[in-house]
Amino acid sequence: MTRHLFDAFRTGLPGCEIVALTDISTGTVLAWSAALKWPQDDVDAICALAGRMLDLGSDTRTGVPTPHAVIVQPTGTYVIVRAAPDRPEALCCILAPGAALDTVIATMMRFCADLAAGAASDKGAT
Amino acid sequence: MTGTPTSELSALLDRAGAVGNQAAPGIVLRDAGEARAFVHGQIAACVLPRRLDVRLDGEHIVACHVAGGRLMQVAPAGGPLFQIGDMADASPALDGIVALADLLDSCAPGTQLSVTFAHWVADDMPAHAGVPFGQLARLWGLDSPGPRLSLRSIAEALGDAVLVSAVLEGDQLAILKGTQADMGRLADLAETVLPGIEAALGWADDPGPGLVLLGNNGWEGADLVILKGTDALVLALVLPAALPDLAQAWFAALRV
Repeated sequence: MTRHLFDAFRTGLPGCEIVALTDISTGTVLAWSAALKWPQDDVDAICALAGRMLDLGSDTRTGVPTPHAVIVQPTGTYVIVRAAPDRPEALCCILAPGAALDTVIATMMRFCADLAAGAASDKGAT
Repeated sequence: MTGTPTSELSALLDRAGAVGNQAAPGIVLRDAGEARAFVHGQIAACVLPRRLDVRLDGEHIVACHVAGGRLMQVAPAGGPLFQIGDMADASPALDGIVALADLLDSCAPGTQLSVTFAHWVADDMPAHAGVPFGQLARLWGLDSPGPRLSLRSIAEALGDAVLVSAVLEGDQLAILKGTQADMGRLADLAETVLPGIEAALGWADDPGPGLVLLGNNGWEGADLVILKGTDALVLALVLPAALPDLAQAWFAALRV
């Protein structure tokens, strides 16, 4: 998983300050890219928050785990997207206040799918 | 845009020690009569997103706020420019805000401004080296409560996109929209997720506003939304397509 993929994703998402991919089952940060130099502890904290938020419940009818969570604060918006219902990976972004949220979740899900497809093709090639 | 070019503001921030991040999108939000800058303060190892609001009354700056907390007040022309808490002097990094204030004061009424992302690094703030951020925040008033939100107005702004909603004040849940049966289910849902949200986000220690959305976490495929005000919460189940409107209503209410 190369850094430039995440850099390109972040710069292509208006208002995105940081994007991080995490394994919420282990709390491991798998990759990240940020506009500023973020201390690793802060990135770890963002990913830990992602895990805690996505663990907060599930659809009351189907039991499907929470697919995404959004935390809006005066200083920015956290968007957390589970890569897939049966996957432990989650993508987290912090966006500037006022960022257009209507397409962000869909864009993040597409990026997760692209990453999974890339990983699958890498496995196939080896 | 009728006012100052972004590059000039960036230069001011740069001159004051702020480091502009040219890679980030520059224009975030514009409003007539109000300038809004998004900056990152970095103190020691903490990156602190901050929103700087500068309000204009047509002739003068009437107030500046950082992240909802009052940072300084600016007097009419001829008076003292600003004061920060009990501090007699501004720190070097805050000179950037003074320069920004000067610039804004000379702008025409209704000027719209845009500012690039920037961050202040610890070395730019020698006056505060070693000061814990909590203390600094109290000094600057950054931890003071933000404006009171009209939570009901936000819920009402969403109209039919809200399936069920209620206000939780203390342990009392009052219906805004829905049936008694809906309220029972909403109360169960809140009981399940609220402790986790409060723990994850530290709401017990934070008097400021907040909004959390958990996707597909209710019933009928709805999103569970929790709006936090100063002393109450609004719980709502909303249609997923309402997220942009929800965020817009929330930010609009913050500006009141």
